[in-house]
Formats: sequence, C-alpha cells, structure tokens
Amino acid sequence: MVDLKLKYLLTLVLTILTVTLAQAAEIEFNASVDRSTVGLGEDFVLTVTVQGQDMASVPKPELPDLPEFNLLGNSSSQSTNIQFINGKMSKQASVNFIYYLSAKKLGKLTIGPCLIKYKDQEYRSQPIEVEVGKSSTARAQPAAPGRTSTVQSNIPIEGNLFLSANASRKTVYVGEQVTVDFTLYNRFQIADARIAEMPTFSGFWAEKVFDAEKFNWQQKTLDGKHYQYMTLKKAALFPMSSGELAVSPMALNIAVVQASRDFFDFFGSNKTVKIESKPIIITALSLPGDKPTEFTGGVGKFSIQASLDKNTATGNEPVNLTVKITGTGNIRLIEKPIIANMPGLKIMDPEVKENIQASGDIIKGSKTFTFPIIPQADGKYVIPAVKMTYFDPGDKSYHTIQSQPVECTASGCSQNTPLVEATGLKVLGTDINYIKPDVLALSNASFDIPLWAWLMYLLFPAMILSAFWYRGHQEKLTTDKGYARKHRSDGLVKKRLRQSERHLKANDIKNFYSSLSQAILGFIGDRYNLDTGVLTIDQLKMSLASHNVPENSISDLLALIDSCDLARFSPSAVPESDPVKFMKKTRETLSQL
Amino acid sequence: MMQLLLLALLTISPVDSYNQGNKYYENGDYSEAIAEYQRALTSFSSSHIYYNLGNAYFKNGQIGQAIINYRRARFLSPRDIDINNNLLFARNYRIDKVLATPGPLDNLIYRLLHSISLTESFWLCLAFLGLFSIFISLFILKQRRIYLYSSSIPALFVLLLLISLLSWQSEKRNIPAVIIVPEANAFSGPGEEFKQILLLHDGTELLIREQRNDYLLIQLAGGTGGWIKKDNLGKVY
Repeated sequence: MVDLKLKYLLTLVLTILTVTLAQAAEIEFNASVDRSTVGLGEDFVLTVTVQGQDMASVPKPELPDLPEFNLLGNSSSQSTNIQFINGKMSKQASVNFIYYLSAKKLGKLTIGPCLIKYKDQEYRSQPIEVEVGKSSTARAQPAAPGRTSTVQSNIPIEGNLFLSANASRKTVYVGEQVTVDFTLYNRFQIADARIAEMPTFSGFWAEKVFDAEKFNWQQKTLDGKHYQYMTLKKAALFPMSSGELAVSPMALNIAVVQASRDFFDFFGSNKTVKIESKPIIITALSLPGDKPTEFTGGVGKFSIQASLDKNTATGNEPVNLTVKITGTGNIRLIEKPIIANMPGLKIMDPEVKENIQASGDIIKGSKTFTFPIIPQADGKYVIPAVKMTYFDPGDKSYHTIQSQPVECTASGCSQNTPLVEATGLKVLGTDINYIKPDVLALSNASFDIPLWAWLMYLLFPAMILSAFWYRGHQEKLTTDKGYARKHRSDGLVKKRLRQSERHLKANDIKNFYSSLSQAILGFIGDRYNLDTGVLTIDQLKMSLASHNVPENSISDLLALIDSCDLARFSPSAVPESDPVKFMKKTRETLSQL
Repeated sequence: MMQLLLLALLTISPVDSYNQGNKYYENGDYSEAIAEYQRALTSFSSSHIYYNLGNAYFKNGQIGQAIINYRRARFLSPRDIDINNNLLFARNYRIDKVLATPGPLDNLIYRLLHSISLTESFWLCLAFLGLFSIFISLFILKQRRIYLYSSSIPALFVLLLLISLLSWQSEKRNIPAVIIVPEANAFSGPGEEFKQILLLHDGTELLIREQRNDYLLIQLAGGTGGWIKKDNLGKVY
C-alpha cells in the first residue's frame, strides 16, 4: 500500500516535471495505455501523445525495448485545436502515435519510457505498468483504437460527458467572422449519438466549416482527466446587424453503454442521456465612421481584378467584363461593384458566381461578377478602374481597392441603335395639324388646265415638221438648180426692181426700162428655170404656158417686155408720165406669178 | 349707300378673308372662320385656304366637308405633310370604315403618280416635250445620232408625266364625292319609294356614276352602290 502511494507520488512529480519541461519547450510528451489490466495475448493500445504549438516537424518517438510484448501495428493521428482565451488565440496541435501491443507473459509488466527528440532536446515519457492476467474483465469490450477505458455507470454524467460550445471571439464588427464550434467531451463508451437540436444562427450569415459525419475521437486531458473528444460542428458566422446576437444551444441524445454487473451480460445495457451546450452571446459592433460611397458591404481583406473576355467586339455582340473579388471575409455579402455608365456602352446586370470555402477556420474564396457590355457605337473604349471599398476589422479602417482599367475596340456596330434607350413615344392625345399661318399673298391655283395651255402642245409637232421641211428645202437647193433659182428669184427681182426705181427717181428713163426689162426676164428665167437670154418671145410664151402660167399673166408679161424694149430703143415714143404707172403695173404682174 | 357696301365687299381681297378666317379659327369661332374662308374661295383657289377650311370644318364636327376640302388642298399641293396628315386623321374619324382597303402596291402607285400636282405635271410635261422636240429637230437637221439618243431621256420623262397627268385627270373625271350629312340613305332607284339598301355616314367617300333628277347613282370603293339624294353629297372637284 505504501509502496503504491509512493509510486503515485512519483508519477505525479514526474508528470508535473514533464509538463513544466514541456511548457518551457512548448511541447508536451505523454504516453498512456487504454487499460492497465489486460489478458494474456489480448491486444491493447499504447498512445504516445505529443502536444505543442508547432507540430509540423515532430519526429516519430522511439519506443523502448519491449521484449515482453508483441508490437502488432501502429498508426498516427493529428489534430489541431485552436482556443481563444481572453481574446488571445492559442493553437494547440497534437500528434497521437498509436501502437497496438499484446503481452507475451503474465504478471506485472512495465513499458519503459518513450523517447522523442525535438529541437535538440530529449523528452521521455513516464514508464507505464501493465497488469497481465489470464483473462480480463474488459475482455468483453473489443479494444478499439483510440478508446479510453469506459467509465463505469456509477460515475455521474456531469463533468464526464458534456457538449461545449465555443466562439472564437465574443465581440466582432458586423460582417466580421466568428467561428463557433460544438465539441463533445466524453469519458464513457458511447453506443449511439443523435442530434436532438441543431443550433440556430439567427442574425448571422452562416458558412459551414465542418460537420462531423462519423465518430472520430481524439484524446485530451482536461483538469487532469483524460477525455476523448470530437468536434461535431464548426461554423463561420458573420453578424448581419449590430447588437447582441445569440447562438442557440445544440443538444444531443447520447446512448451511453453501461457496463453490466451481470457477468454473463457481455454487452451491457444503454442509458440515453440528453446533453445541451450553453448558448453563446456575441456582440456585433456596427462599422465605425461614415461609410464611403463605394462601400459594398465587404468586411475582411480583399483584392479586386477586372478583365475582359475579348478586346475586340464586332457587331453588337457583347463583351464580358469580369470583376473578381478575392479574399477572406464575408464574400457572399459583397454587393456588385458600381460600374460608371459610359456613353456608347450598355452595361447589363451582372451574372454572379461565388466560390467559397473554409480554409482552416477562415472563410475565403472569390466572388465573380460578369457584366455583359454591349457596344452601341464603333470606337475604342476604356473602361475605368472598378473601385471597391471594404472594412478591414484588423486595423479598423476602410480600404479602397481598384482594378486595372481595361480597354476594348468595337467595330461594325449598327449605327441605328440609339445611344439613349428608347422609352417609346408617349401619345397623350391626337389632333389634326394646325392651320396654315397668315400670308401676305396667295398664289391662285387652278384645278383645270386652260385650253390655251393645251394648245401649246401643238407647238412641238409643228416644230418637228418645220425641221423636216427645212431639211428638204436645203437638200433641194443643193441638188435642184431650178429650185435654187426659183428660191433666189424673189430676192433678185426685188433688188432689180429697187434699182429700176432708183433710175426712175434719177429720171434716167433709158436705164430704167433697161433694168426693168432685165428684172422681168431674170425673174421669169429664175422662176421657171429658163434661159431667157436666148429665148424668142414665142418660145417664152410656150415655155410659160407649159408651166401652167395663166394666159392673161403671159400676155401681160409679154406686153410688159414689149413696152420695155420699145421704150429702151425709142424713148421718145413713151410718154413722160408713164414710167411710174408702168412700174406699178410691172410689180402687179410679177406678183401674180 | 348700297353701292358703297358692294364696293367694300369687292375690295376685300381673298388674302384678307383668309387672314380674317385664321383669326376666327384661333379664337375657336369655327363657323365664322368657315364663312371667311369660303368668301376667300369665291374668287380664288389656294391649297392654304382649302386646308384651313378643312380644319375649321373638322373642328366644327363636319367630317365630310373637312375631307372634301383636304382633298381639294391635296389636289393643289400633293406633297404637303399637314394636308396628308389631316386627311388621314379625318378619314380615321369616319363612322363607315372603308369596305375595300387599297393594298400597299396601290398606295405606292398612287403616291408616285400623285407626288406632283396636275399643274406641275402639265408644265413639266410640256417642258420635257419641248426638250424632246428640240433634240428630234436637231437630229433631223444635223443628222447626228447623239441627238436621237439624247431625246430618249426627255421622252421617258414625258411618258411618266403623261401618266401622272392622265391619272389626275381621271381622278377628276370619276367625280368623287363625300357624304356631308350625318346619315344618308341609299336606295335601289332614284326616289324614296325604292328599297333602302345602304346607310351611309358623314365622311364616306364615293364616286358619282349617274345623275337623275335629284338623285345620284353612287359607287363605293368595294363596288356596291345606290341612289342618294343630291343634297347629301358634296362633290370634291
């Protein structure tokens, strides 16, 4: 008995020492077995636990020589536990190295200290004693890896089976992330666990971080008691409004295996208990100061990128402007960035895509806004930098970030597309067009065309006919000598008659008759294409008759010629007063032809 | 005294009556405006006066008279937008809808043929005929083929303008008329004792086929017709 007490004391001292040492080196090294009494050949579990802040480079521990045991196999598991104590985060990682052993012989056996080398220091675990009997009371319970021995039913539930609800922080800004987790601590053997009530996160935007799907127990020593624990649910919460917000408790119905006192009842009976976590109150602070105009609700740390899917647009096909916001925080609650309206570009409502995941406990990811932009006129466009303002709870201030400006060229846009969106003409009423204004003068219009105007149409056929006649006449003049003479006769006779008159006025009677005779004969010759110079009076008479000249005209003409000849050769035979009369007579006779 | 008054009446020019009519119209005194415009039209005819008279009739609720005067105004200046618009407007106000609506091709042809007025097409036709005759005469005299070819251009215009001219003349010769009373009965013969076959309303346009005593045989666009009392109709031209 004394011996035993001493041993306990020694263990305690050793443990304290190890803990102190471990704390100094920020590492804790432990070894334990799942039960201290085993049957011969029965397998049991030796768990070597290394706990510390940085578990990335933990080497495998060296096991002592175990000549009295068989090493059946090993495995390892790692877990990270982040705790916030008074607003300070402490990260506690642990690595469990699990060895499955079985004893080779009966009696009290000792597992020697395990050794680990970490950062140039050696750590040893305390030795463990195992009592090996022929058969074990715990034989009925198949040893599962990672299980501590079941606490007997007479041990109270309180303090040995509980659900702890933890919030990473109790006071946050609206939109800032709080991580809550629900962890089940247990020292019993559990047959079944069912969720009786899920916690509700009213007033929060909740993102799932982790939901347990199966039992995955881990080991932990709390207040000197060894627990197996398991995180059931972890969620990232973003307060939506300021004030005190409550996270309602989670409740579980757990069936605890009660070890039977009846020897033959191997499996025991279950006792169902309901355990409930404590509610968490989180105080959400409203964002400080005046919100900038470009603030779109983001709280966290973000970056922004803008890009176009193509740099040239042809026709009126749209170009997609993609604005990607990446970072940590309440990404889902970020509203679309404001893109300034540009003349010539029609910016449509964006298509929104989110890609959000929990990395560790931190919610991060990206939100993509794809704006289809339809160019409405040809040209080169520069879409200015897209701005976004978010609140960084880290330094409690607003940050404005902006993307690079992007540019594109549009061509082949149909020009009839109006730059201003047509809203349709609003017709409020219809009426006739107003009267014509006052005038100073009106032109008199007529419904009818007067007859004289219609007659003007006759001018033109006449014109064409005269053109025909003129052409025929010209042709005859060149080809028909007689016609040409006849055509000339009028002009010639007039000229000769005028000369005769001049002689008459000069009282030159002789020349008067001479020229008059020439005029008459010349006219007859031209008119009828005759050579009058060589014709006798009789021949002349016959020729004239053959040209259908009336008889009296012929006789008149001949009489005139006679008189002329008479007067020319015997001027005295002609009375003085006669020439004027004679002239008149000549004109009359010639005009008859 | 009487002579003085007559003299005063005579000295009022159509332009003065027209402007006076506009004043009445502006004041909403439509029947006075109608009287003034009609006085102006006794010795004169102008599309402006007919158009304003049509407006005054329309405002006075006389659709048929309005249509008559719009059509007269359009006859004189067929390209005037106001006239065409108000004619269309007045036609839409009629009770009787057109029985046979003209097709788009008919409308196009009508617009082409009537894009210039009768007087315009007459003088243009004369001018092109003159040009044509000059070319032909030159060809006859100079015997150069270029003149013959050149004459084909005015010849083409002459043809087109002649078609327009003839279409205007035929429109007049058809004797179009419009119902100018709120309701008019059409009978199967020239007299009230005949069977009533149609009831026509103010503004309906038709053609006059025949006259017997006080009755006119009319024909509607669809081909249907009947005898209507003379006072119920107003001739367009």
